Amino acid sequence: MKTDLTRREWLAGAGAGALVARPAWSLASAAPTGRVTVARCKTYGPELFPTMEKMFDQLGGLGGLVKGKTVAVKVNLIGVRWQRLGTAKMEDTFWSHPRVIGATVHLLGKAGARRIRVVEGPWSTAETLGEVILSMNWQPQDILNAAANVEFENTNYLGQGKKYSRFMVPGGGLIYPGYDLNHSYEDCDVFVSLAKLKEHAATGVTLSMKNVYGATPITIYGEGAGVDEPSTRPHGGRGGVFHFARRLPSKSAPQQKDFTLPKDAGFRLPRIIAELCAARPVHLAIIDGVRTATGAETNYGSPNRPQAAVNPGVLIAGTNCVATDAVAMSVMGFNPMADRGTPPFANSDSMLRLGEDLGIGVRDLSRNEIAGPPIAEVVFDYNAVREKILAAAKKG
Amino acid sequence: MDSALNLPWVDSNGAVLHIARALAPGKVAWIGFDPPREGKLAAESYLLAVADAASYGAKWVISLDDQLRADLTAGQPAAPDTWKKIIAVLAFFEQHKLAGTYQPTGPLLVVSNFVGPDWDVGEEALNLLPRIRQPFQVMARSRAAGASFAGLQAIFYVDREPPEPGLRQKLIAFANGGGILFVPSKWPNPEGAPAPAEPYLLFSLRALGKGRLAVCKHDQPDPYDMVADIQNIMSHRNDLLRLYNAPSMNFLYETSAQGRKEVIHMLNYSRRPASDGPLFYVKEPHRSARLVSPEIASPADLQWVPQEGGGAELSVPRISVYGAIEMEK
Repeated sequence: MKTDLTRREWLAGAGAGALVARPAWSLASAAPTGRVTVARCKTYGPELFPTMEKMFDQLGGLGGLVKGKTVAVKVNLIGVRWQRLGTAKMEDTFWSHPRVIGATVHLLGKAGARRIRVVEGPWSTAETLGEVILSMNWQPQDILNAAANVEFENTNYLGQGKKYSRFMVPGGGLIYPGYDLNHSYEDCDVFVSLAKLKEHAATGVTLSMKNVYGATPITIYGEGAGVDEPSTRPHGGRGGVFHFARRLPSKSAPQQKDFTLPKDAGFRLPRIIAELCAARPVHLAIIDGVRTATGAETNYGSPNRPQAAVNPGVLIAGTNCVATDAVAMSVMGFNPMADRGTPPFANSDSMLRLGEDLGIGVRDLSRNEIAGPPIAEVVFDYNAVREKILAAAKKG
Repeated sequence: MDSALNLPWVDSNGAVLHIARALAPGKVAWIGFDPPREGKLAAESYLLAVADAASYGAKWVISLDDQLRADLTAGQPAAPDTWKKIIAVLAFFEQHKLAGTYQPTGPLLVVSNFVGPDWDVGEEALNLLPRIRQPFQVMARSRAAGASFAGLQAIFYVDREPPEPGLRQKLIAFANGGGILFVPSKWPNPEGAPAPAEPYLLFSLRALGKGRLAVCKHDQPDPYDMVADIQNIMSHRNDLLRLYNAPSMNFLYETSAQGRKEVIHMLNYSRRPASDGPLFYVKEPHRSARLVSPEIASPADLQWVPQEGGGAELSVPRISVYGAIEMEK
C-alpha cells in the first residue's frame, strides 16, 4: 500500500470516498514532527513568567512565528462554571490559569504580535469573555493589559463577525467534511491552543487538541442550535450534536458524511477533534499542568473516576499539537501510543492516532524533538493518584 | 434539566410569594396547595414545602398525602416520625422569624402591577432570577412613585403599559443618575441616544446621563434570555453574591431594617445533599457568619476565606432541605 501520498493524491483519494470511518491508509509517515518543551513550575508565582519565556526560547523563539501577525489564543474556560471541585478554583482545576494566559499574551506581544485575540466558547452563553472572567473573580484587565492590542471574543456565536468562516478538513474528513466557526479562527495568522492538563470522561485526555473542540459555535453545534440556520444566541452544550449525534448541526453547516457510523462519543469525539485540528491547524500548543484536576471535568458521577485537585507542577509547550499532547500524556503517566482499550483510552479511540492519520503530527516521542528535563523526572502519574483515592475510599 | 443553564428545574412558590409580599407588604401570605394524590411523599418533601413558604415570610396550609393520613390514622410506626419532623421545622421557623423584619435585597428592582399578561412576564422573571443567582427586590408599580431607589444598580420595569408620567420621570431620573433602566419594547419615545451594545443582546442600549436605558427589542422575548441579558448588562463586576456547587438550590438574600444584619436563605429543591456543600462568594465580607438550620443541633460559625481578587468565600456544610447564613456587619 502506498503511504507516502502527496497532498494532491490524498485529496483525490478522499474525494473518491477512501476516508470514511478510518483511513484505509494513513498519512502518519508524512506527518510533520514537532518540537516540544517541558518545564517544572510548581506555582503560578514569580517563577511562571521566566519559565515560560525560557520554554518559548527552547522552541526557537516566538518572534519568527508571530512578529507582525494576528494571533488567536484559544483558552480553556469550559464546563459549567458554577460547579467547582469543592472549594478549589476553576483556574486551579479545569480552566487555563489567568496568569498563564497573561504571561502568554505578554510574551506574544513582546515577540511582536500585531494583535492578540483571546478566544473561547464558554458553556452555553453569549456573555463576553470579560464577563465570564469577572464571574470567576478574575480581572479582565490583567489579560487585556498584558500586551498591546489585546481583545476578547466569545466564539460560541457570530460575535463581532458578519458571517461564519468555513474550515474544510483536508482529505474530506472522517465524520464531517468541514466546520463553520467564528470569524476569529480565520482572522488569525497564528493559532495558539492554551489548554489544561486533564483527563476526559469521553476522550481519555483533554489537552491542546481537545481544546480546539471548544471553538465550535453553539449556535450551530449546540443542543439549541437553529435547524436551518445558526441561532442568534447559544443555548445548551455540544453533546447532542457531537457526542451522540442526537441531532444535526444547523443545515447551513457541512453535514455528517455517513449516518451509519457509530454514535458513541468514544468513536465520534476523537475523530471530530482530529478533524478540527486538521482543518484549523494549531501553530503553538501550551498546556498548563501547574495545578489541575484528575478524574476529568465531568466524570458523570463515575466512582471509578474520582476527581481531585492536584499540583503536577509542570508546563508543556510545542509547535505541533499531536507531539505536544503525546509528551503531555507521557507526563501524565500514559503511553502516547495507546489506543482504544488501553488507558486513558479505555472507551475511546486515540485522537492522537487519528491526528497522526490525518497528517497533523506524530505521537512517537522518539521522532519529536523534546527539550527540558527528562520526562521521567516530571511524571505525575494520574493512574497512581486515582488508585490512591480509590484505595482510601475503600478503607473508608 | 434546563439545557441553557445546565441546572435542574426546581418547583418553588418563591416567585408568587415575592409578588404577594410586594403587593401586600407587612402582611403574612398563606399559601395552599396539596401534595400529589398518588404516592407517598418523603418527609423531606414536607419540610421543603414548609421552608419554601417560610423563607419568603409566608405559611403553608399543611396538606398531607392520602397515604400519610391513612398511616397516621392507622398508627403506622413511621408516620408520626414524619409528622414530628414537620412540627419541628415549623417550630424552627417560629424561632427564626426573620421575614417579618427583614426584606429581600439586591441591586436589581423588579417593578410591575403583576396583572394580566404582565403577571406572566413578571412571575417568570422572578422564577428565573434566582436560577441565575441574581439577588433582586420586587415592588408593586403602585408604590414605586413614592419609593426610594437609592442603592439600586438597575430597575426592570415589566409592564407593557407605560408608567404614569410621575413614575416615568422618576425612573428616567434614576437612569440619569447612573442606574440602568430596563423597559419593554412598548416604551414610547425612548429617552437618550443610541449606545453601542453586544449584538446578541435582547436590549438596545441608550445613553442617558450617567446611566443607560435598555429597551427590549422584542415584544415577547424569551424569558430566560431576557433575565440573562439583564444580568449581562448589569455585569458580574457588581455581583454581591455568587453561589457555587449547588445546582438544585435557590437562595434568597435579605437584609435587616437597619442594614447591619443580612441573611441568605438556602433552599435545596433536590431534598438531598449534593456531593459538595454550597460555596458562596460574598463581595463585602461581614464581621461574622453562621449557619442556622433545622438540620443541625446548634448554629455553626462559618469562616470567611478572603479572595485574591477581592471579597471572600464561605464554605457551607451540606444541607438536605434548608439552611440560612446569618451575617452581621
